[in-house]
Amino acid sequence: MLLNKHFKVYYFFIATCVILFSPIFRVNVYSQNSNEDIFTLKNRLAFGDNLFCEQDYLRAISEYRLFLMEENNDTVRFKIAYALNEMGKLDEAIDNYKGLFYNTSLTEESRLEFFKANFKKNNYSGFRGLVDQNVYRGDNYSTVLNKLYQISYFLEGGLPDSSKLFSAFAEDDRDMMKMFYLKKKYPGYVSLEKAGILSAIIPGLGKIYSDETGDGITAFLYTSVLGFLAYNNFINDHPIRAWIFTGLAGYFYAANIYGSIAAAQNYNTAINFRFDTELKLYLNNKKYYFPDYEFLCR
Amino acid sequence: MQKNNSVKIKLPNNLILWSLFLVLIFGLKSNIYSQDHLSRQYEFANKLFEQELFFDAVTEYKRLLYFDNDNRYEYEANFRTGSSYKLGGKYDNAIIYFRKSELIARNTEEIFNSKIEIIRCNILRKTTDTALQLLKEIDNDTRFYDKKDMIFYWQGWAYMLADDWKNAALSFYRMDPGHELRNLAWKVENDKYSVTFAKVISYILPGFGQFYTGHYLSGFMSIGWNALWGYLTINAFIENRAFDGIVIGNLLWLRFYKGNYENAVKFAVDENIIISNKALRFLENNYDGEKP
Repeated sequence: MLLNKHFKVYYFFIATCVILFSPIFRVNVYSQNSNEDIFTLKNRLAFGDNLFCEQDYLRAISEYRLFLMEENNDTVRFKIAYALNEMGKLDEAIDNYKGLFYNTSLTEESRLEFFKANFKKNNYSGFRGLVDQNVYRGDNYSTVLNKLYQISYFLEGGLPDSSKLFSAFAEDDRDMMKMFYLKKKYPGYVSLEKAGILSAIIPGLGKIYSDETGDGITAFLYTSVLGFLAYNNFINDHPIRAWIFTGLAGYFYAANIYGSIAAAQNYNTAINFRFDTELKLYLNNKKYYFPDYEFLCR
Repeated sequence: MQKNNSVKIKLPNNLILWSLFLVLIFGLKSNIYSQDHLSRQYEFANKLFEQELFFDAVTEYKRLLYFDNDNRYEYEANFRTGSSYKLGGKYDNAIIYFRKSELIARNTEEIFNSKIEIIRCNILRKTTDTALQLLKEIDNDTRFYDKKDMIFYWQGWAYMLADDWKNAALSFYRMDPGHELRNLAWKVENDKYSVTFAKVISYILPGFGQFYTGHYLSGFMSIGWNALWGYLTINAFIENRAFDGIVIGNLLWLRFYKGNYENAVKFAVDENIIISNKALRFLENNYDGEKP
């Protein structure tokens, strides 16, 4: 009886040792430590996630695609679409988001990101059309979409309805939106016609009006000196030289009017460019008002 | 009862020995197994690297880094990732990984190698100021006292890529007075045109800056225009037509005079670029020594 009891204890001890140190068990322990059997599905996913968080999206996508060949996973499919979006491959991202629209755990998120990718394509009327269709629009994130919807008017060069714009934003963002709204409504453009007319009356004045003071003064000096030379040579009976200077003065005069209109156009383009850059920067800082997804990178 | 007792004593000893044996065998076996996986991964990544499949090599080195919990391959994997990025033309990423390898280097040799690779990447991406600054730092570092030749060598390369052939020649000279690259750099320096001389000679004798750089037609044109407008300006003043003189002098003569020396400078700069590029092409295609 005593012998039997001892045998039980020692067999138990041996069995424990065998189990603990057997290769099979070690494999399991090491898989958890990600140190063994590197190419298991689980490890591939873990490595893909690591690449994704390092923003090495191209390699992360490769790992994820190999993972998906063996096992379906909505989060991984979402991450592929998200990575494509971050890489600027918007059309591919959109296609991948569409694959998550129905019967997945990330339906709402993928629909929202689908709209974001469409917004980033700079086709703002197309974006608004998609939102208006109300086909893919989810309920949870309608506030976020509404913000982008209103902002899209700005980036298209127009103005949103002020009451709809301000009501879409919370108090802290509303002031910024008011600022953008006023900037767009009163952009401080110069008139092309006015610049041309001013330069026709006084050469160079149109350029000064378009904020090119140096060029304006130069144009004034050149045109007036050539004009005076033409006049002076006519008076002193040097008709050939007089006509040469008249031609030159006429050429400078016409070029100065054309240049003033071009300067006004450049001035207005610069205002639009600055506005768009400022607004896009603001949107980027606000992450497009999109939520942070905890499942992406912890 | 006695018999029973002896069995009681004997059996446990055997069992303990057996269990220790099992522990040793299985424990050792599984350790070898785990090392084997990582070393095979390292070899696999190296194979990709040798086959010049740099994109895949980076992936596999990164995988190795991720699973190497004991950091056994940390330096090698980071260094090789940097090298793969570098050979794939991704110099910014390469520098990030060489910096990592520098931080975890186990000895002076490894630190030096990582630093040199960072410098080489900077030379390749034409941030030669940074490369020269880093070279200056390691030149002053006493740990690398026996590496002076290599420091001068890469200094020479940095200067060559910075289009400073004189300093390049000096750096190579400090390494080896008869070095092939020293002779090349010195030849380029001698072949290059002096931009200042081209400008000054054109101030004094319009058109001569163009002659100096071998642009004879342009030189004759410059002489012609300057002579014509110069004559008309002076003639106007002689004939007491001061206003004509001022206008022709300002609007025409000065315009061609200014064009003359600006052209001479431009030609000298362009010719120097051609000479430098020719030398760099030679280095790229015909030089057998180590390149960045």
